[in-house]
Amino acid sequence: MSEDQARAPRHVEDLSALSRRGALSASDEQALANALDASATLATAHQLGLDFDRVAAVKSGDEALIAEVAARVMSRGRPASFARFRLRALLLAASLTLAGSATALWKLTRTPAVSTRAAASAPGRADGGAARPAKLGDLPSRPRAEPDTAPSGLAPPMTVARPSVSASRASSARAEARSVRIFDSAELLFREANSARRTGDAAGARALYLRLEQDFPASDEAHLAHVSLGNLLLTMDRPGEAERQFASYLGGRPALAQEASVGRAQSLAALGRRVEEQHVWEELVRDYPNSVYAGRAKQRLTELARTAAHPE
Amino acid sequence: MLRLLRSGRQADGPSVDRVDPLRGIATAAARGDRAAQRTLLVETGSPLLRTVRAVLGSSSPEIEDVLQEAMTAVHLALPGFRGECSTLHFVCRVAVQTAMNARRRGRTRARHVEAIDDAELAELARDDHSPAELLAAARRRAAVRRLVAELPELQAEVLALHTMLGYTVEETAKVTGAPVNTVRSRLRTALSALRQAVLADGARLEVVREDS
Repeated sequence: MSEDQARAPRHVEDLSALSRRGALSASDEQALANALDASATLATAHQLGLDFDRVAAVKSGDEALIAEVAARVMSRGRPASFARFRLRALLLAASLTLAGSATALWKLTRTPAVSTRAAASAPGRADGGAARPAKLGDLPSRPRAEPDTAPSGLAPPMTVARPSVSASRASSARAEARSVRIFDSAELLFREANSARRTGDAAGARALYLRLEQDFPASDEAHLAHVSLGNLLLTMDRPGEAERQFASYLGGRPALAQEASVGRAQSLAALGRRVEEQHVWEELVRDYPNSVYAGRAKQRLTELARTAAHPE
Repeated sequence: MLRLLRSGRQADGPSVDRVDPLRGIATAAARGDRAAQRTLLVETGSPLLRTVRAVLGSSSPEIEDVLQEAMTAVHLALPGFRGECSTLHFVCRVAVQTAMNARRRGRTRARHVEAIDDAELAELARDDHSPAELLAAARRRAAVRRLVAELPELQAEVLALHTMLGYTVEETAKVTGAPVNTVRSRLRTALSALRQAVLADGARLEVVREDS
């Protein structure tokens, strides 16, 4: 908000709009509360605004849909091309990766609150630790690879069952078979890496993504692989490697810049690098003030400021 | 595409307008730079899609078609954009108008189908709020969408920009090119109609108080 806006007299409708952005001072919040008490029409309108904000979230597959429609608009009158299909597949894969990892990313820093609420609200779940059915967006499994740096001052990561010995052996066999296979295109390699990730073969997927980045460094798939691999590495307790992958992707202004920024900030949080994490969140709010992640960024910045003011 | 996005950023140069970070790309796009045009559509795709969903409802079968209409309209309208408001507000207004037109085209049919959005109902089990509260919110959103299709166009646009997208009066005035007082008058008329619509639905009474 500019200084001019801050000095300008507030109209009651604007108080409601600015409150929805979290941009009101305490005195303006009080003024809004008074205005809502005084006008039922304004109170109704404010409530409706909050109702719409609640459903304004990005959905799984949105990136792919947007890319496809944008490509269609840009190529009006041109015949459909293989490149368009390839682009759709690429971004769809990326979206699925992000959708699958988003829950875990958020839980990484929100675990205590979420767990407590879930345990309190789930009937018959007083212990809060019983198994629950898998939901869309949950990670398939979380192999406990050796962490590159222990998280400090963070909520404990999610606890999940370790894969059985036989499952580990099968996974190793699959990874070995993949490692000797020859891939003559970035697209094939990317597809295989995604397939490995989806089946829970995290180590195999990591190796394939790294191979893709090494063998086809100039390909679009290799560029996108930084985000896919970054999210995968976060689930493998390798936030240092993950942070480097997200940072590599973030050169320029790529299509998934906001998602990669969130991933990078989460990586830095897991590494305990609070100052850098704060910097990434601040950049996200500054560069994408209307992003759907802006609210999350502001919330985390508030938490960081509180922690800095009252260190444990 | 990713290469195009990167090149679009490079063409924009290192100096980015902090108030309107999309202005450089929009200017290049208006000049006919195809990489910038595509970049702009992708960069504004999420808010465009959210706007279309807000007006039509999340489960509308027309979302993809209307998103394409909105992107095409943005593409065609860019050369006439003079920077009276932020680029994002400009493209969102185009999306509001496109989606409102689509909603009005389907108004007759919409009166005979379920008013509450299936996709939003599906979210009831995934939120921290009570299902009853979420159901009431879904019904309130449905009422606003119906009203946007029924109010006079100028009032409907102001209502959509304010309620669905959260624009202030001043932002709405800038984006529509109307005087602030005119916008405020339209908004108050629309909000009164909105309250009447909400009052008419007994299920939404929990957020509506009688004027003292």
